[in-house]
Amino acid sequence: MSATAATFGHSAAALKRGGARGWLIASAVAAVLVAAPIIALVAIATRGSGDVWVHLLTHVLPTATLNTMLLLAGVGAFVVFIGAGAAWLVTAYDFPGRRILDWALLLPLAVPTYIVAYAYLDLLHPIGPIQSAIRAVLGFTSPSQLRLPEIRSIGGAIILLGFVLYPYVYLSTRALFLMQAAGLLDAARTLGAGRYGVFFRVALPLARPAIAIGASLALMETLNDVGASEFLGVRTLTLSIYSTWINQSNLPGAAQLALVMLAVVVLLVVIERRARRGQRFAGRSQRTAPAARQRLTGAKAALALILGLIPVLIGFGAPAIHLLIRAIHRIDFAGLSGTIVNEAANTVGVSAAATAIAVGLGLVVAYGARLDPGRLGGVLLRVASLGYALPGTVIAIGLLSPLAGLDNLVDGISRGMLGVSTGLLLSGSAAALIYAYVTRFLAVSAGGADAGLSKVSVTLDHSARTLGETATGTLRRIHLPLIRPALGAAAILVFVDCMKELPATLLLRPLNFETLATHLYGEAARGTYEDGAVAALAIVLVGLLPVILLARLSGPTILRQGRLDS
Amino acid sequence: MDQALRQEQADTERLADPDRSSLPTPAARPALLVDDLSLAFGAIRAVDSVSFSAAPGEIVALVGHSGSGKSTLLRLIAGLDRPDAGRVVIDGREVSGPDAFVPPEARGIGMMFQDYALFPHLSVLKNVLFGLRRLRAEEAMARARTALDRVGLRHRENDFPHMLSGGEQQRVALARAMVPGPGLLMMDEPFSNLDRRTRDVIREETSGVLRESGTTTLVVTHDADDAMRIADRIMMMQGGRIVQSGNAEDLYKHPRSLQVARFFCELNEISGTCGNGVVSTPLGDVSAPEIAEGAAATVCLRPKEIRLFAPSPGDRTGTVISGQCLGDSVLVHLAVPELDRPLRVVVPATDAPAPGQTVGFAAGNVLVFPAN
Repeated sequence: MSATAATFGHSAAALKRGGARGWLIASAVAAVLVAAPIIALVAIATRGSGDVWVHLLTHVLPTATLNTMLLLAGVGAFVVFIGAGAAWLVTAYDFPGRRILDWALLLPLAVPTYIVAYAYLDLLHPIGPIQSAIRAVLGFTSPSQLRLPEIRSIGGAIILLGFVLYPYVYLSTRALFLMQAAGLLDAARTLGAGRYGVFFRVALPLARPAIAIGASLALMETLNDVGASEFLGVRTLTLSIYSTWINQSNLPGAAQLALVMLAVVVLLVVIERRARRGQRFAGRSQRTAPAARQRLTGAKAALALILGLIPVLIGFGAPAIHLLIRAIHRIDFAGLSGTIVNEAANTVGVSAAATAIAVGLGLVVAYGARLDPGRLGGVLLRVASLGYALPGTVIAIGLLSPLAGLDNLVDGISRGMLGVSTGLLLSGSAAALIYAYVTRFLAVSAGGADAGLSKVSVTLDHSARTLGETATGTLRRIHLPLIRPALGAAAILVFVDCMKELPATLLLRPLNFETLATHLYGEAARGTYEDGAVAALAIVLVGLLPVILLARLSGPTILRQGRLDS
Repeated sequence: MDQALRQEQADTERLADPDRSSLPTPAARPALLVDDLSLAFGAIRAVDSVSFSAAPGEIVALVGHSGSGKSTLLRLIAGLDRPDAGRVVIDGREVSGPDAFVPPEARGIGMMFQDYALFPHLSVLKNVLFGLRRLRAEEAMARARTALDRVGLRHRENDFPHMLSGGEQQRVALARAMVPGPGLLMMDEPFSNLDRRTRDVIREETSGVLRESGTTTLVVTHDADDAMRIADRIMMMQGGRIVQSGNAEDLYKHPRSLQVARFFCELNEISGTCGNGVVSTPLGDVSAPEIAEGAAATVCLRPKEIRLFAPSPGDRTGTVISGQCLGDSVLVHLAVPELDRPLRVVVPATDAPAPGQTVGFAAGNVLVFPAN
């Protein structure tokens, strides 16, 4: 061991502990895999798209950028309003049903943006259930007598996206409100601030970092969305990238648009990072005796409950029930089609493969960072986590050309040596899809593993090492048993994210390979409603898993809080 | 590997013959040699050119305030950190140095941590077995059980760490660190998480186990009492350097600096200025040939070394403000007209004067240091 360390001289000198080198090399591989699409994207974009770029610059980019900005601004304001409001409602007040609302407000997380759009297009159709019901109540007979505002608009998109994305803000802000020291709020009250004054002058400003984190995550989702904006007719950057590649087969053009979007992503990441730094400072404040909730009764309690239920019903209740009814009708009428079963199997297959790889790599990267914190390992962990901010379209466009290059290389070698053509080994198979999923969701598994490891005292590592165990053995015998729950939770999150993923799947799936998400997209794009509801319902049901997980994670806090109240 | 085997053998012999004493022999090859070791974190020199050695079986205490670099030094020796410069040689083998870096698991050392670092998912027995993987299962089991017997916890072998009291956890940690027969045992604040009564008992026990096995031990502590009771030799660290090294008596009686003196004993400190080799203080002159002419100096009186008596004319006197019972002794606060702060004096409970009484006082031993 000493000999090898000496042989590697300088590279080994950068490492703090023996045995870390192998882990860091593995982390570096993971980080390169994640960074590859971004590097490729820049390379393709600089190759130039000739005349197309002029066309894009004059006809596509201005509208797409404007729409994207409007959408981001609108969704941002909307999710902050609903998310922070709901968080204050359940942390500052107590009323019958509050405990249920506590977790029910998370439910819209289970509904991907393209599904909420899909469901509401149907629900709000002029001859759909809602408009028909309104006409029946008002005594109108024809759709031409009463028209609700068109949902297929940027305003409609803002509202629909807002109602499924607000839980990001709710989650982070609620946690912060629960942490806020009662002392601060009490101090504000003794200084003459009323309930509203406390909210606007103390609680809200203190929660600003948490709100910014939640909002930036919601906006990353907005940026990633391709389905909802297409269904609702909003030409965003994402959609333009998608159609530049799919309809015009112009990869450099798509890459150039993707770079523009990357700039927006960087902005969001900067906001999020700064907010997290701010939160570290705000969160550390005092010992946290949580503030007692104000008990509401009578009409006020009913009002609070109704206010809290609105986002749950719009973001989850209505679309879920609608999909359930449509799915039941469909299955009654046509049974469970072989196609949908096949697609479900495809979805589960690629998602499971991607999850296994992502969790494995995530563990490698997180452990590498633990062995070499603050230096190379920490940097690699951050690079490997870049994907969470990258929209699926950007990753897919970035992957297309390296994968094709790799395929050509393998094919060339194989033909040269064996005389056999391997064809499109990667880009023509689900491997490309799995690669994209891993790139996009590695941050989730690495973050989960890192959070799990951070709860294990570093003296346990030192004990194991001084008792003669290697770095790898320590991971296997000490860390793995201790962080298994954290890894399991991360695996669930990655799996569900993969199942829901639409934009990268659309771009990278092999021919005739459909997942539940792409099936739904196809039907919505064609305007048909056959098995779409079944696929959508399946995705929503699976999407409930992480919601349950989140609710359980915040469960103890809720319980402790409840006991202190009484 | 050879090393480890020999070590295990040696350990087995020790276990078989507990009475065999292994007194430190200065002539023998040092069990630990630290040579000009340095590590900086940015601009902070956490360990600054430290050199020392420990003889086989010697128990060395490394003391100092937090931030003095003692824990970093321990981690460097254990291989948990890599030095910027210098060498660590354990039992004749260079484990850290310009040409070598042996990872902690291959150094044949044992380490005990302040929080004990017991593996929460393993039972007491499995914790102790953790480091015995190279042995056959039955033999490992036998040795682990012997070790648990030695610390009196054989009956808790199937319990998990969270079910044990602090003192029991400490004992398990000791057994776990000792059972592989390390050539060098390092303890980082091993007693600081214990309440005072448990601490005294555990300290005695630990010392007994260490002496019986003849294990060379390095104990890091910020507690002077721990160091004086357990160690053959004490090294005081400050600012990454060893400022004084010696046995307990040396450091207590002949501290080389005010910091060392303060570390081992509470002091009454009186400032003065040096002139003609004499420091003048409100309480009189003290001879101090080693202090520079005109320099400010601090004169220190230990509370236990001040005598109180019924005053005769011409004696320096003070008025008793209060007396605090410390059990068999009393801490007296004495107001002295020449001083702006009361003198603290510790006297046997039987000789304690009553508050309000005027008494004469005289200092036995006086320490003088340059003021800092």
